[in-house]
Amino acid sequence: MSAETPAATAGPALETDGLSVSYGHTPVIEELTLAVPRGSVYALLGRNGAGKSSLLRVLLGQRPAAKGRVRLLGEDPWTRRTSLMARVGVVPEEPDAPPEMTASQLSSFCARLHARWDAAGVAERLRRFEVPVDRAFGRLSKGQKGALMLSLALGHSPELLLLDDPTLGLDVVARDAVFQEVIGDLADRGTTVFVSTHDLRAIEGIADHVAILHGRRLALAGRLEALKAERGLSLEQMFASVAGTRAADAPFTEARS
Amino acid sequence: MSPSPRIRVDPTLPAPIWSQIEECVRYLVASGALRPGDALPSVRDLARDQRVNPNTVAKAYQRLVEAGLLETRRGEGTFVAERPPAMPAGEKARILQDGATRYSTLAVNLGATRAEAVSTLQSAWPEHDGTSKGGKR
Amino acid sequence: MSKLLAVAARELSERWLLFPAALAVGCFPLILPAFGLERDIMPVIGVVSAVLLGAAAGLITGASMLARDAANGRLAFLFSRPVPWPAIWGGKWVAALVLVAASGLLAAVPWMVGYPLSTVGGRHGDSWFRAMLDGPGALFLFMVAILAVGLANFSATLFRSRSPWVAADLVLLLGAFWATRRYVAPLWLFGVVRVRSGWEVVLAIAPLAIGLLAGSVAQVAVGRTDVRRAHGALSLGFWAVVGVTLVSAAGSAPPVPPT
Repeated sequence: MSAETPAATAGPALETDGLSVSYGHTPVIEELTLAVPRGSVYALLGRNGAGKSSLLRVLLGQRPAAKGRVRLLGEDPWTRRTSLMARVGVVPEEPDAPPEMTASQLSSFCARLHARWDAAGVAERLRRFEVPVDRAFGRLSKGQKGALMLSLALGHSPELLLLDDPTLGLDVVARDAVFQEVIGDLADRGTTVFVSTHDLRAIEGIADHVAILHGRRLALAGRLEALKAERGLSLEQMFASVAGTRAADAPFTEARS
Repeated sequence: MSPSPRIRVDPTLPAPIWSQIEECVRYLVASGALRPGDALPSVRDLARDQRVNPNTVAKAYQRLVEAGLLETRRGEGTFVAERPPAMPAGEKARILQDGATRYSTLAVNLGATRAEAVSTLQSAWPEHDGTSKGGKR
Repeated sequence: MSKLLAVAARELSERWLLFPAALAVGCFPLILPAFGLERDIMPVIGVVSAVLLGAAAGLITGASMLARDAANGRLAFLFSRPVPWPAIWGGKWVAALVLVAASGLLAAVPWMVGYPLSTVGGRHGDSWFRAMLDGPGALFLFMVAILAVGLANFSATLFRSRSPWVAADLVLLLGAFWATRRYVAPLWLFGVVRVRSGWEVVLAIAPLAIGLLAGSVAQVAVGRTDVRRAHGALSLGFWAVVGVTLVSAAGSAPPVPPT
């Protein structure tokens, strides 16, 4: 399995430095500094709804940052978006595929947009998720839409997978299926995964790094195992303690452990 | 679907997941549920099954391989070593104690007397020819 | 290029209903004689309905191709994939113009069949038709198509951005009207520029078309998936082109007594 020795020499898969993000004129994230090592699973936790989705748009080069730096696989996503998206898979919170297209049409469409496309792999995933390939996207259930977006995001074998609340609104079965698929991909290809989520239970087993947002700033960040050992708390307990007691304005920089 | 006895982890426990996996495998080997030569679930399968990071599973397996308890066969997966190292004395006593506590608690809850419990244990004791009935959970 | 075509193909598939609708509308003039209308004006009605349908297709497509797609996530779908912004911009515009042309032609086909070219008679039908087919005429139609799509895009973007900067756009619009009336119209009225041929008409509306195109380039390249930023970029691009045109027109205007 290739992910055993993270390629430290290649630099972080994703890093931000003093990143500030605004939604319109309202600042939603301030002074975010973090680094996602290659091959790791990095969970960004927090109740900050608008902030996390706006952050994703900045990470993807779809919106510029208000302040600070962001690097995806070592490059600036605002200026190098096209080449980066060939190496990055995205599952947004709101499924954004055209509603009249079927799963097989979407796979064919994506095949024309990417240099490499594993149509068979996508079809196999859809079969596993039990997503009907000839039904219009708009008529799929929420779980099926999410499964389809994930399948499409993995179709070009990305090095980095960005997931924005992938399990929001899904039932337990669908949630499990999503994470199982991500785990399978991790095991097969050592993908780096950056997931922003509320689902602490699901992510606790999988994440090796966590960062907790409180208000607009990072309140806690580091290797999950180390944090748990230090505090003797589960992730849920840590989250509750941070969200409850930490002042929203105090800046925090992730310890590079 | 894993043909081997279940390895379970609880991510909310303070013990690191790799350590939980390691403990679990050691217990299964010690209790005979996993015998020399038995296959362990692949890293991928166990990770998916328990919803944990495959790196963590790999780490646990790696440690057990280094301890001599498991061995990897190229292209085939991970197996219990043919000759697992002898268990440290304390370890064996701890596992036995753990099992005994559970059995006696069970017997007491059923309202059995000590004599009944002991005699049931004796009749259940297998012939000592190496085919211990570990039994699935 | 292939990505641009993929985007264009998708846009066309999404709006395929325009084709049968155009054909249906095109058949409409053919049944009018049953209501006692003179045959003579049939070709005129045919031409008019073709142009109107083309314009309608342009407006419908223009309103949805960027502004609506930014709001409902379809643009984000494209931006989350390795599609360069020129392919997104180009694909959408190519599809829009193809839809305009196709709708117009499809609407024209039934009456062209019903009234073969050789019988196109009467003063109006003949000259209009000829006017459409020569160089400046075709270019003029092309510009009109761009205007339809572009203006619909501008309006839709304004509407969806809900930004206070919309007020700035309106102010600039009024300013442009005033400047045109004061500086550009006199050029024409006083004979500095004369509409001697169709080319001059094309030239007159070209800045508008170019402005709309340039504005939408900025909208896609800079605004990307954010409707508000897209509006800002669109406005900036459009008014830059129109502003430069008006200023240079004003600069070459003879002194005009105040009206």
